[in-house]
Amino acid sequence: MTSQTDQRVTRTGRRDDRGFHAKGLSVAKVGVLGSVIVGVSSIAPAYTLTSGLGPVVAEVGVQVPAVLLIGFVPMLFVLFGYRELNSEMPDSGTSFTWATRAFGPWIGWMAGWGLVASTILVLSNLAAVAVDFTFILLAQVLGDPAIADLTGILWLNLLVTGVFTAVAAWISYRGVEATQKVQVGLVAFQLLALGWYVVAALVTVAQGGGYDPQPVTLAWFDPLAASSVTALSAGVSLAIFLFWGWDVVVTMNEEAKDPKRTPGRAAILTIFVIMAVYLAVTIATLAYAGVGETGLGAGNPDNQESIFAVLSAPIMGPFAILMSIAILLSSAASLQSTMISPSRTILAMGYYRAIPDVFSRISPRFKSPSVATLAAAVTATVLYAGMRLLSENALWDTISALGLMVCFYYGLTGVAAVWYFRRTWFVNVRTALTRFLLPLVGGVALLALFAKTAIDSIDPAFGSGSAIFTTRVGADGMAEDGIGLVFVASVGILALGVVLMVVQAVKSPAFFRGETLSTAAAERETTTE
Amino acid sequence: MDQVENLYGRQRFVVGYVADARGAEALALGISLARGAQAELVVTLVVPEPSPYGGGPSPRHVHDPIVRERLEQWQREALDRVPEDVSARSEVRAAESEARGLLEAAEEHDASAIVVGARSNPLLQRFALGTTLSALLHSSPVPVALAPAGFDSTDAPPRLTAVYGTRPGASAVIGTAVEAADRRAVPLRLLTLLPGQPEGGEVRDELVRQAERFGGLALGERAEELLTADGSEVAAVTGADLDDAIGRTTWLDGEVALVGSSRLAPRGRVFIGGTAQRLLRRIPAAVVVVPRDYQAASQTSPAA
Repeated sequence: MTSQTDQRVTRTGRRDDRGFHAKGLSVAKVGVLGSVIVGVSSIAPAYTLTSGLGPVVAEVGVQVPAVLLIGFVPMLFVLFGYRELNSEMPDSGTSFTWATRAFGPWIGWMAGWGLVASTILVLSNLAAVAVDFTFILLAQVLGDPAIADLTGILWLNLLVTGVFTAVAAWISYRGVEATQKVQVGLVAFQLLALGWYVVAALVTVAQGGGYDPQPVTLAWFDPLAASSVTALSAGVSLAIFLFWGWDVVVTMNEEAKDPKRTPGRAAILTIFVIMAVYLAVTIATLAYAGVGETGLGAGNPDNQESIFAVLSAPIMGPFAILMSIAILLSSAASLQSTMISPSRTILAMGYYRAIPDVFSRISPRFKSPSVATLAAAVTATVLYAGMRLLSENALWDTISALGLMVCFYYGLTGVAAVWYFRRTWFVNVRTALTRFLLPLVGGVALLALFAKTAIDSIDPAFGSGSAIFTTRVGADGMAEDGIGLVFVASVGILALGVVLMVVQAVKSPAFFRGETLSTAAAERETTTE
Repeated sequence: MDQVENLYGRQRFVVGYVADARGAEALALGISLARGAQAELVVTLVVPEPSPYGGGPSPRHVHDPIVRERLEQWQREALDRVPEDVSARSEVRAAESEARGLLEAAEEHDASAIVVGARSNPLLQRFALGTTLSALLHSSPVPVALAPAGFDSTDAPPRLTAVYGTRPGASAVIGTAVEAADRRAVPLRLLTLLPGQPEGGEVRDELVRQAERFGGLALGERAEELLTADGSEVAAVTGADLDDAIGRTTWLDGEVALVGSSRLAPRGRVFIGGTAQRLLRRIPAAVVVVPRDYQAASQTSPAA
């Protein structure tokens, strides 16, 4: 009965005569292809690439392919642990609940905070990208390039971003009837636009065109060729952002047509598709535009906020409109589906009294988290406005901060899996890998990456070069002293979490005494294969 | 009473329950209708159908222990409000929409009515029926009972009123009302708001014929008996227009009105027409909308 929920209460005359019965909560079954569609759609490659590719190029230049290959390994390893935890404790809280179970309330709280903060940061970024491409698309449709610049008007940008976020929150609160056809269409359209971009760029280069054509060499795949360890770790932590969203594929057990085979095959195929798309787009971009810091060069800081906004027009000509539509659709769809993620974790944290229990309210009518969804949407909008006011390059710095936060809570999730399953490590070879070795290596690697990049990001020149407490600004617009904005946005938000955690612990200590959610460990008996 | 039950068969009502004021009103009306008719209530909570394709709650959300616990809590609260003399059970049902879920529940439980709260969205008050309501009223094969905002009477209705016109569909309303009043042993008022309707004994004969057409000779006999009983009446209230006529009508506390659905309705489905919609907004009592070709229970159930 894994696919059905028992939920019928019966009473005939007597009040305690209750029975539970399954009723229609079965889920549509999904095959390998369907799972891949869901996975690719939740990663939203068109959006991720336009936001993430520029910042990675800024850190490591032509070594982006190498960084992509390195970045995906710890993510993949942690996902094995993630999947084990999800099948053991399928709870809304995910990382929050799991880390609390493994390490107790304090670490669990911080894992939850990391997850919520990351997803809220990405919401603000998704909304901003959707807004940018709305204006770009309007400019393309109306044939008036000036319209694309409207996104630079601060109040207009904040207003439209707020509207987009509100609409997404409203839809995710009320629920919409999502169909497979729509999802398949969205994914197919993204892949088509990206494919077109790759082919057009490579054909142009082969014909001797291109902005700053570069020969593709094996050195692009060599991480040792990166300029420094700092650059490499910064690049990898950004790559972590690019791969974020895979958890959807590995946790699709209940929906899988064949729970033993489908999720594994689907995950491998999704990884393959995403890696192929990422590498192809990266190589095409570098081969066409080079990493020069002027003009269309991928190293030009002006291009790095949203690489396709700049490059799709020269590469795809009039068909650049396809790319705009693909990015707008993928970021808007992702904005709406991602909204569910922080609200579910906030719901769980409220439910276990880790935060005030008003956050655990569920709408009687729509059966979705109400206060939690509102909180996520409002915070995302406020956060975006704050970043935007502090930094000219808000999108870029948001992505860098996001990479860091994802490293933090994914890393914690990885080691939480290892610790939670400590009594069942060596049941067989499979558990030795999925409950011990892989999540341990992945988790520790992500936490190390977090620590290294966090320290580096104190430097005001990190990321886009935006900082607070700046007194001197160089001729290139880079802050020369102060604290890097990426550090403030990531470590600062985590530190804010510590403060809020302590406040809640004083005001409502039940959760922190382990009264609502106690620590536990998986026992050997329960894990017979 | 046994005789009555044999004639009509045991009834079941699906109550569309939401854990708010609207749901409480629906539940109160459900209890009121069940009382006296010895009907069973199926208190139904509809959750969005989980879809792996995103958009709504993921399957993981619906299967979440936290959400499930909250749903169970709502189910218990609902059942705790049902008095001991009414039998009730509760279920959670996943469906693509609330209306669809209630229709499926009604079909599966062979229910004779769907009871919902009619309290409308405060923003759209009086201008539009809610989406669930409007979907139900356009497609339900069984009568839909609407609890008005503030409805909290859980006693059996003291009287039933069938509002009838000349249009086809009158026999379904009249027949259902005769059956419902007879089942509960309460007086029946047959009310027409249209000017120029025939009056007196002539009308009574016509109404009996309508009941006969709906439920056969047996029901016709019951109708004749009912209409001559104490408290029952055949009334024509007219005014300058429909609203005025409704304004002149008096209603008992907890009284339930039955109205027919539009002649535009596909056979056997409720479809709310302009007149019925105006009635819905103006009548201060709970309203049951009866599909044009609704089949009598006494005709479809095996005769005793």
